[in-house]
Amino acid sequence: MSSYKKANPKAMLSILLICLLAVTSIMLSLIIGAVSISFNDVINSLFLEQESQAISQIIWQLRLPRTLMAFIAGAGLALSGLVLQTVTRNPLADPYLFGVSSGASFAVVLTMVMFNVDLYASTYLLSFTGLSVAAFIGSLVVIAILIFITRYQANLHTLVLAGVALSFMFSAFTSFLLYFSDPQAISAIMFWTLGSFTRTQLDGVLISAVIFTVMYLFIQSRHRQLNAMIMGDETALTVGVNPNRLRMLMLTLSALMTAVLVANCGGIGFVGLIIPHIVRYFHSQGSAWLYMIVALVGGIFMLWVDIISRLLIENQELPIGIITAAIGSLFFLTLLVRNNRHHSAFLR
Amino acid sequence: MTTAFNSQHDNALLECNNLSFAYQNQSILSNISFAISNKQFVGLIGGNGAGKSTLLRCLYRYLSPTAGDIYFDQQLLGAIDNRTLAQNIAVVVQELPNDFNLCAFDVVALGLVPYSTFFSSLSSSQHSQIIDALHAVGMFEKSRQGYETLSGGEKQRVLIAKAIVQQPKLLIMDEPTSHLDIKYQLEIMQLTKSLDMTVLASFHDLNLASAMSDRLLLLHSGELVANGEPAEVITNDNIKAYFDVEANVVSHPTGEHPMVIYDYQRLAT
Repeated sequence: MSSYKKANPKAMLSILLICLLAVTSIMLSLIIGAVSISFNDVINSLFLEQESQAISQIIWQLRLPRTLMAFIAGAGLALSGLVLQTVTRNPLADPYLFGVSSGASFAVVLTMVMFNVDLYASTYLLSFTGLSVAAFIGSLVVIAILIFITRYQANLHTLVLAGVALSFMFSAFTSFLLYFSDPQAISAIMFWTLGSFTRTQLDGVLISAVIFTVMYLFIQSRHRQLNAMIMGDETALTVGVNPNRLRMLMLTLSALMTAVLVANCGGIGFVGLIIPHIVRYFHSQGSAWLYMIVALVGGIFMLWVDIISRLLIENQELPIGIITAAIGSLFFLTLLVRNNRHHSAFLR
Repeated sequence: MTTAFNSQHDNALLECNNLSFAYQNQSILSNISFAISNKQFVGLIGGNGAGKSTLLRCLYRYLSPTAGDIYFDQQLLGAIDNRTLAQNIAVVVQELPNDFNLCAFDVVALGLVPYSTFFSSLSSSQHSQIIDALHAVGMFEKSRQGYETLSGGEKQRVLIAKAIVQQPKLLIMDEPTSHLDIKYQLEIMQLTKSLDMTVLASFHDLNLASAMSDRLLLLHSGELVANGEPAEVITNDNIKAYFDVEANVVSHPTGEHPMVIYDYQRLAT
């Protein structure tokens, strides 16, 4: 009995440490940038009186929305990746691998081209909501096709391969649209597809935060059922879980989360793949805290990617997607090499 | 319940009436009828492809039969909701995927999923239930080890611990002793018998089935060809007709049950 009582404080300690790290990262993200702002100024702007109007504006209109958005995007993508990996029992599952992001991206680009949506327009909330809805429809179309394809053959490999095929198909559609667009629109859309937090506003952060909270609570409430899914549909069924229904629910939730994030900050890949793998190195899969830790670590990771994107080239910002794809593909290759060396490592 | 009137055996825990299952127009099971009463240990035997796993899967509702009725505790099986069913029937399946390597403790904890409510994590009484079950199967020391890293016998013991916490009326086991050394086969069987549950288990090993079971069901090409006490089912004729080997059935020196001595030199002619 006693050894299990000890396990909890350990989890609490790691959560406490991760929370501390998260708060520190958020502070640094508010401080670091083209204009360096002191810690005192950040605190004053956020919680007290700030004398300089300019600094207050930078904090409230630029740095804070961007920082919060980066954190939520990282948390949301990591959580989506984890839940997709769990319900499909595939260690390589990720919103991007499943075509969910490509479907969302295509729908967003289609909406932009058709309605000439200006990414930097003053009607931000309207365009953001419109693009989110479009992205959600796009990702739902992908999910619907996936369900249709796997309907008569409930095979997990089919699901993954169909996802990869759909991902390529919708990327091709997106390229096709871009090919016929005018050059100015193309450059704006290209920058968006590579992922960025620069145009984030507080409204978008709020909507993303609500969706994230809903998804997180749902996953947390079903974490024991999700554990059963790891041991196979047959086991899940024999402990009272409807595996197909739970899988579809989780696919839909992660599609919704991915869609809102794609509409908000474009295409950011690999986070959903990397973070759950990293967390599994120091935290067991079966733990009730796993989902919270993955979300927090995902958020911290994205904050630092965003900070690096501001620092790497002076007076210029690198698109987020480039950095995550570079880190992600290296990580992916490392996993594969490790897997070849000793087979089970990949599937720990 | 109106469905109860269709049940023919009043005290049967599980009852199958004319159960058939076909896959892509190919009949796998046809017209299977039998009943299992409380606290019986029933063995299911038959050659490869006889339909043992398919029958068990119909009984724990992973597959739906194409025809016929199954009653559990006087209720139509199809009418029972997932949670209630899982509180009543526990299953030890043959092969499990576990790509993310849950530890033994977490696997046992799955047995309490049918009792979990929204948002609930393990209560302290559920914690001690799991610990007790791990102790009962002798796996407490390895409870934090990954399930994948355990040996075949240890894996089975963990799955039985999961069944213990699930507190079912019926335990279904699909070849619980396959790939195990004889020592572990006996260990797993003694453990199962000590649970005092109604058990339906499929077997490859006829002698083990004969020694353990109160009653045996013999399947051949999807049909139930024998149903009775081991001595009635394990006979020279049945072994020859349904397993295609020559054998001599004798009585086991230490017990009442029949024992098969194979003629290793020739197949049935």
